[in-house]
Amino acid sequence: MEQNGIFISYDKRKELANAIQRIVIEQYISIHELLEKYINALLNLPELLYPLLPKNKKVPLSTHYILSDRIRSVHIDNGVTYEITSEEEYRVLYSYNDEIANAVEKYNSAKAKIIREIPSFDWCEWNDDVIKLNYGELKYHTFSNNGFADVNVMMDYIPYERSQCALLSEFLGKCINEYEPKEISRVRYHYDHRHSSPALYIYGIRKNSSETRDSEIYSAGRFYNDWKIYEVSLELYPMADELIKIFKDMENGLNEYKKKFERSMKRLEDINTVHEFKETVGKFKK
Amino acid sequence: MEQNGVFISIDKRGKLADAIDRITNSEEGSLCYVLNKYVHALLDLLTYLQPFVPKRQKINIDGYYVLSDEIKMNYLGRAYKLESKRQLEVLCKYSNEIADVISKYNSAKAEIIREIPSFDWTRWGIGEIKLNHGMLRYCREIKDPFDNFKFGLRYIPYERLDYVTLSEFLSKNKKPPTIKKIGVLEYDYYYIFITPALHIYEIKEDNAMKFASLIYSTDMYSSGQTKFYISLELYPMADKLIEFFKDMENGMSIYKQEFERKLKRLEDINAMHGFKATLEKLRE
Repeated sequence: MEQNGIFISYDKRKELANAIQRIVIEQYISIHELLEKYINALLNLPELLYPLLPKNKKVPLSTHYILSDRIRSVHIDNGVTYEITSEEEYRVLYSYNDEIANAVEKYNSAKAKIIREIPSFDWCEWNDDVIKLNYGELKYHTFSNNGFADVNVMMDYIPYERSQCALLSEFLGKCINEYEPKEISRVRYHYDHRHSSPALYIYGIRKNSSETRDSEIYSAGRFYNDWKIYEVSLELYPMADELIKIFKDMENGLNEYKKKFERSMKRLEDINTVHEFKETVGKFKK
Repeated sequence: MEQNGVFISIDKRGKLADAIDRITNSEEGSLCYVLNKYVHALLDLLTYLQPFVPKRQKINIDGYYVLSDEIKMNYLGRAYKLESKRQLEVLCKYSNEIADVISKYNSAKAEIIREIPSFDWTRWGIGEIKLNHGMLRYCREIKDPFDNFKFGLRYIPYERLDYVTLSEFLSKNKKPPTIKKIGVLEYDYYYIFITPALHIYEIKEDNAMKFASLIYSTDMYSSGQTKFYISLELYPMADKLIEFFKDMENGMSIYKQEFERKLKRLEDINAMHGFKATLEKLRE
């Protein structure tokens, strides 16, 4: 950064663009693919647990739900029971986990054990988890505390040491004299399973200020292609050194969450395999 | 511009942004501002001229158009309403014929209608304006009166300029940039958009045929932020482009003056008609 301009290095701009590309495209795609598999494995699980209770056995869970061969909803007026979707079934399994496991345990302890394990597969359980990284920590937030809500999570990267927060347009713009020096307080990565790319935000706080509230300084939006990444890397260039470190650190943090999902998925796959094996053995016995 | 990067000067980038802004903004004092006022004054004029002929009178203008309270289109014996822009085009094209008919009922209106072709900028014949680094001329897309309410000026620099953008410079490792030369800068105004666009063309030659090929374009919704990115993208050519844009601005001011002169006349007519309409209402 010089007094009357800024030198933009090919290599540094490119390095920043690559760091952005890795977290908003490559890392995002791999998380997305992993979650697709994870959700599919989860949705398969209830099928393996059926029948939850032997024929003609029924245990009421609430005024709305009843446990029988599967979990069914009860019509409040006439008592007729209806099948529910796998997603809803998960929510009930999560909310009435102990009650269902206790009821199932009388007939099948293996199934009961799996049911008790179900809340551990829920990503909402990680709310407020923090992963310590090289230059900052990555904090996980969910929007909902309901079990197995849509995968709509935010990961806030909070650097241990704050550094200057400046955008190229601010630096080159005319209003540079009015610009109030700010520091990067956090970088937010918003993952939403319904979208094909994440939203990336940079938050800043006034330098040497006692304020605790930071504000959004830059939003890269949700749509990324080569041109967009070029524009983002140019706009964020004055913070390139710091952001390259932050994005690499975030990438490591995101990998940790991927590992968490992979571990849970491994367990889900093991359960599925054991059940399939038992089913096959049962068929042979017959 | 250095071997391993680009130095961007605050002042030069600012100057380039200002030069682009002076051409493409729609604020008071700009050509776009006058054009917007001019088009509105023309459309206002039409409402003052209506009804053209007294109730139930219908006069054929040609096989397609009918003159009644407004100018309508004749299709299979039925008259269809035309948008104001089209009515003005017809008024301009058949100015004398329409004025002759109307003069039987209202001589003042007929006189204004005879004047309408003089408001059509495609007939002004300003011609080529020789400037310091290039020349500016009006470019016609459609040979209709008022050019479909579009207004385009082409600046042709005397010496073609190598076209290199910042994004090409900063990602040159990817693929070597193809050498293009700026042959034409175009100011493109259309009355339904807030701001005019600026297009950059290279001149290509194919089988001895010369044609302009678009290489860069600002859009017609340019905000402050997009203007910043435009000035950044065009930065490697800043020195020369600042000269070209200043030149264009000078040439454009000749058109602006002409528009202002005609606008004065339009506003006078509108004011007079507005006054007459108010008097009539008071009499009623």
